[in-house]
Order: sequence, then structure tokens, then C-alpha cells
Amino acid sequence: MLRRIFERVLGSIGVVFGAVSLIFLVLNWLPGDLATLVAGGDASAETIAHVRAKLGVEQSLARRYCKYMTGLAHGDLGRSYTTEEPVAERLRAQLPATLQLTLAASLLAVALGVGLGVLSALHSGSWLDQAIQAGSAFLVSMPSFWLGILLILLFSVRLRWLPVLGDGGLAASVLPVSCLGLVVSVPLLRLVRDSMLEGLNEPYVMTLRAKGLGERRIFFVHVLRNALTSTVTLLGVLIGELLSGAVIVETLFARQGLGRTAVEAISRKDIPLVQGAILVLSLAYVVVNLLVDVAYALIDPRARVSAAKGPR
Amino acid sequence: MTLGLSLGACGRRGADASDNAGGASAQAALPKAGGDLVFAFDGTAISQFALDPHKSAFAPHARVIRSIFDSLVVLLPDHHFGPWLAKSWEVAPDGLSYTFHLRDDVKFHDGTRFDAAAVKFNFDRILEPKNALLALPDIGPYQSSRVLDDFTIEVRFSRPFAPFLANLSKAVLGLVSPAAVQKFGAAFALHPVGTGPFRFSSMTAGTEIALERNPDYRWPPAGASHAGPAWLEHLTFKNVPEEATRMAVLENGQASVVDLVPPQNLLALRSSPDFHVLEGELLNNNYSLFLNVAREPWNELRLREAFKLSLDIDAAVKTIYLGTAARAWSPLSPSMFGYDKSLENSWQTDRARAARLLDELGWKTGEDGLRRKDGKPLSVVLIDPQGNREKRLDLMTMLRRQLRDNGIDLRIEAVTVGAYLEKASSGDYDLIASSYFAADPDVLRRMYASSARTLTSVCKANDPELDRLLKAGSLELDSERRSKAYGDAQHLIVDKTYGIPVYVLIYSLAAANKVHGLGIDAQGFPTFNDAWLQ
Repeated sequence: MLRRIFERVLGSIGVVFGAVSLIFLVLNWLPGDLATLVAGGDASAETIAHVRAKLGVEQSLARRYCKYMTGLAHGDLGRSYTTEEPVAERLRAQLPATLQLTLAASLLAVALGVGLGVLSALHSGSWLDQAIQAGSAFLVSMPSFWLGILLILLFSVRLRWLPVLGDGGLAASVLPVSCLGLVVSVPLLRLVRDSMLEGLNEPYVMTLRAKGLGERRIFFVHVLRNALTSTVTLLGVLIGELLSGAVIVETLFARQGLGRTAVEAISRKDIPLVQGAILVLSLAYVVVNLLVDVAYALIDPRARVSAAKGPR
Repeated sequence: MTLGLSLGACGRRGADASDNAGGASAQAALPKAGGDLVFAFDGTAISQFALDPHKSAFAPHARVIRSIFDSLVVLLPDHHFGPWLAKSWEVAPDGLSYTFHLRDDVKFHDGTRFDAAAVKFNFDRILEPKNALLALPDIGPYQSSRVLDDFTIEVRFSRPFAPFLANLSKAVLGLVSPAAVQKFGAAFALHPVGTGPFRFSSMTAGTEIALERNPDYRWPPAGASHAGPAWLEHLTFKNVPEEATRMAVLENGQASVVDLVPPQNLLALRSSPDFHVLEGELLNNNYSLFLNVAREPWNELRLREAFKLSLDIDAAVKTIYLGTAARAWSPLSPSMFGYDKSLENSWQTDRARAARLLDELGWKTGEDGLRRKDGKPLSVVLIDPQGNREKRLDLMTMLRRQLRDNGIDLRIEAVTVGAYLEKASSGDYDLIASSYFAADPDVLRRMYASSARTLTSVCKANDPELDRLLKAGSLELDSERRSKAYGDAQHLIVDKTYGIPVYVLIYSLAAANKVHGLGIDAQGFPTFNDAWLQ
């Protein structure tokens, strides 16, 4: 088990390294002269030349890459081209808001997805199941910005229960977290429901029933546990959806965040800032998937056994 | 020439910008000091603000900068200039030097003295190419400044520069504290220090800028309704880029003022008993379409004409902006000095004539309704880096349908800023559409003259007559002759279809009725010095 985790960590470092290298190349290939972008299209040739020298963009790509990577190894993420602040500071300012949003939204998504999925499967075919199914179809077909606007209009303008803009209080997080969490909960809900219904028809359930085990115990201990293995895997995939959904939610609710920062930096070709953001986002992705693997092993004994025998 | 240098007064205001009205009952109330105002503004989806006036050409930044930084002079709605940090000034008869007599009681927010040396520092900072400041074109042929005494400064130019006072009144030439620039270096943009009615207190990356009253302030520009410090204790700019969210926070009370109100809400808020609306024209080169005249096939004047005659701009502007924005006839906005009113209604949509022109030029309609010549379809690629800002892409989509009716295929290509700059500078496009903030008609020279061409100039014309007129305008100090040169230039731009003006930008504020004394200055930027809360 430990060995497997160790291998995964090594692999993850490779993934992060690859992501950062790839984005470095892609960004440099993106159209637009860096110095012109920083100086502004109106700038004189002389100004642009000064900016070019200051940014050091005349050096070869390989040299800049080495320089960046050496800096990175020393924990130096460089400075933003556009505002000249250290990238680490920019990211530190944005990270807490994104973490808060995505963590809370994934908790909500899991609670809703698993809770309603189980409820739906338990009462499969009933009016409750149908209502849950209809609700999830409604949610999944709605873009997140539209859902957000509806939430704002209902809870913030009409009922005045919740604020839209952040004011330091927790209340301001309720709407953005709900918006993001609701959207992500739908695929979880469907997967939990389907795999539970499927599980109930498996031969082992029949065996358990024959052994005289209570329905409740069969359902919550055996079937749910089996359903959760695939749910946990899906959660690892959904982290990507959470992070991209965060960009829209951040803009709509006027929140700060890494997603917005990355998008803005990409359009301005602020390479050090994009790299920093991608580094943090890919780290998040890798860490979550690592945790998913561990959780998977804890839930599913087969994973532990096969891990002990060697790579799958 | 002394104080109040005349530049002629032939313009008109599109909207009453000095409207101080709240609710009708509030008119009689006296201003009250204190209170915090939250202003939800469209700062776009930017994640870090840079509040260095000399470094920003970005309107949302200028809206914040205006409350922190003052200028030497103020542009008044009648095209005259009033005193601000300069009490008075003289222009040498040859137009090569300006002498400013400064107020002697002004302090920067960091406690340092505002004086002639500080003004010289500001100009020299902008001039230094190493600093790469966006304000550089605004000082034009600036040569040097001489400190005559503590509060008198002489500014010298290598040739006359008629737009100087107008440029001086813009936020981009706001005066920064030399001590703070030296202290913070490049980080000055994150620690802005000026002399304005509000001083910077903190910034939350991309979402909020908190300002507090400058208790020492007693040097507002001419035209302000009171001379003392601002009434408001705190002024908070909340960046809310999504318009639906801005309207929601105005309604739920989280913000008491919002800006850039969408047309449909503007109509509703105007008649609302709980809110009031302020509108002011943004002085600028109106949002216009620029065909790439340096490239085939749009180098052909008759083809550009056919393009223009196929457009029903009136219908498009009315449909998209619901009557809240006026259709533009000149490249200059109507309140700008030199605006030529005779261009209004100077041409009409004429699909039939456009079709005739296209036929004559060999662009024949094919089976799919598109025109072709030598097998090549008549397509126009618009490159756009801004997205649907001010519903501009909605507007373009309407124009697209009109052009399609005449067999012209307009394609909207959304690109990043980087790709935009690259395509614009290499000339790899057919159409660009943009507006350009300016306080002076010299903006035409910066956009259209071949001598002022930069990588991203939207107009690529090489027209000696236009160049001559625009150069004359920038040198001419006599307001009548100057106005005449710009009148001719505007006609030329429209007649030769170098630019097709579309609509006049209006800056709008909506506020709860407890807010009084809000203002929009003559250039279309919000002012909070006279604002107070009931």
C-alpha cells in the first residue's frame, strides 16, 4: 500500500513537471509579441525595445525555460509581466478563495449526490425518485451562470436572505457554493443511483438475502460500499469540472480566485502568472486524484490485494 | 491667454452630467458628512488592479484613479478649462511653452508637498522611455520643464501642441507623489498616492478597492459644489463584472451605486421611485468599424461604400440599446470640441445602390446568396478581443444579418489580446471595431494619421490630405481654425469610409435615492467628492 502511494507520488511529480513544461511551450507559441502586449499596442518602438530587454524575452526559448525551471526548483515563481508583482504573492492572494469555494462545493456535491442518489435508489420508481430525477435533469441542462443568476434573483433580490457580494462573512459563500455544488452533484447522484440499483440485482445480494441478512444492512453496508468505489473515482474526475466551473462562478459572484486569474493571465500572455496558476491547479488535481486512489484502496479490498501483488 | 483659455463652445452635452438630483424631496436637504458608500462597478474580469495613472489606458482603472489623483486643470462642459491644482496659466504666443502657477496649499496623501518640482518629476517620469508609460503620447512633443520658483513651472515643447490642456485634464496625466514613486518603484500601482479627495487604503485582489476620505482636501476642480474634504468617510469600489449581478446588488442594497447599467434596466430604473439614474457622454472616438484599407479587397473605396450602404446602423443601435445610446455620425462624440454637426444624417442606408456597386465591381451573387469574385466569397473577418462588452457583439450580429442580405459574409472571430495585437499589427484581418477615450479631437491624429501609426492603429490609411488636416489640428492654437481643420477631417474620414461611426458611448450610474451629489465629469468619469448619504 505504502509502496503504491510512493509510486503514485513519483508519477504525480512527473505529471506536474510535464504540465508546467507543456504550458510553457504552448504559451510561448500563443500569438502576440510579449513586449508589445506588456507595453500596449500604442507604445513607441523605443518603449517596446526597453520592455523587451526588461522581460528578457530576447533570450532563446530553451534558455528561458531553463531559467524558469531553475527558479522553480528554488521556489521562485518569477514576477508577473503585467503588474511586476511576485507571482507567488498573486497566487497566495487568490488561493484561499478558490480553496474555500471548491472544497465547500465538493462537500455539498458529495452530500447531495450520495444522499439523494441513495434515496432515489431506495425508493426507485416512487414519486420521490421521479422528483429527484426530474430535478437533476433540470439542473444538468442549465448552464452554471444561468443557475447562478436565478439563485441571486430568488435568494438575494426577492427574498433578501443572502448577500451576493463577499463581505467577509460566511453567508456570502452560500450562493456561489450552492451554484457550483448543485451542478457538480448531478453526475454523482446519477452514478450512485444507477450503481446501487445495479448492485441490488447482483448475485451476491441474493446470497446475502439467503443468509438472512436484513435489507437495511444489505443496502447500506454492502451495496452502498460497492457503489462508492465508482463514485470516488468519478469525484477525481469532477475536480476538473469544479475548477473550470469556478471561473464562471467567480466572475458571476464577483469573487476573487485562481480560475479568473488564470484566464486573465492567459489572454494577456502573462506567462509567469499562468505558469504559477497552472502549477497550483495541476498540483490540486494530482493531490485529489492521489487521495481518490487511497480512498479507493480503503473502500475496495481488491485494490489493496492487487496492490500488494504488484502493479495492476 | 490666461485662465479659462477658450477653445470655442460649439458642442452640446448629450445628457445632463451635472445632475445632482436624488429623489425630489431630497433636493432641499443639506449635505451631511459621514457614511460609507459601496460602488459596484464593471472592472471587467480583471484579477489585479493597477492604479498608476500614467500606466493605465483602461477606462475602469481611470474611474478609480479619478478619485485618488487630481490634475493640473479641469475640462469644463463648455470646452473651457478651469483651474484645479494649477491656479492659472499662460501660453507663450508661439505655443512652445506653458507657465503654470500652482496652488501652494496642496499635500499628497503621504504628507509630502505638492509643488513645481513634483510636477516636473511627473512629466520627466512619463518622458523616460525606460519607464514604458502609457501616458507618453499624451505629452506629445514635450521637451523639458523648468522650475521657476516653488510654485511656478514652465513646460516647454519642441512644437506647438494644441491638445495639451485637454490631455492634462485626463486621469492619465493625474499627478503622482514623487516620494511614493521612489519608495514603491514598480509597486506604486498597488500603493497609489496622489492628492485626490480620497486616499487609497487597501485592495483585495481583483474584487475590491477601499478608499477613505482625505481629511486635508480643499482643492477640488472648478465646478465642484463644495470646497472642503469629501462628505463620505469611506468609498469602496467593488468589481462586479457581470451586469446581472450589478443590478442585483443595487436592488438588494449591497451597493448603493452601480455603473454601466444595461439598457433594459436603465429604462426600468429611470421610472423607479427608489433609484435615480445619471448619464454622461464619454468623450471619445465613437465606437466605429474600421475596414482594413491597406489590404485587398477593402482598399477599394467603392467596395467600402457598398459595405457601409448595406448597413442600417439606426435600426441596429435602436434594437440593441433600446434607445439608451445615440447613433453616431462622426468619429468624434458630440460633446467633443470640434464635433461637426453637419455630418448628422449625411448618408442613408441604400441597399440597392450597394448592390449596384457590388455588381459593378464584379462581386456576383451565387446560389447560396453570397457574393463571389473569381471564386472567392466576399467575406469580412472581424477580429475581436473584448467579447460582448456593452453588447457590441450583439450589435455586430445584427449588422452581420444586414450585410448577409447583400451577399456579404461577416465573420466574427473572437481572439485573445495577444492574437489581436499580432493580427492587427501584421494586418491580417478585414475589420476591427473599437472606441477610444480622449478629451481632445487630436485623438483623430492618433488613430488615423500615417505619421502616428503604431502597431495597432485601427486605421491603416495613407491619405496625405487627412494627414495634413490632422497635423494642422494638433499645431493650431486658434480655436476657430482648429475646429475647421477637424471638421474637414471628420468629413474626409466618413466620406472615404476610413471609419464607420456606430454609436455614442454613454456612461451611466444608477443609485439608491439616499445617495446625493454624485457626478459625471465632462469626460464621462464618475466623481464622488460631492457625494453624500442621507
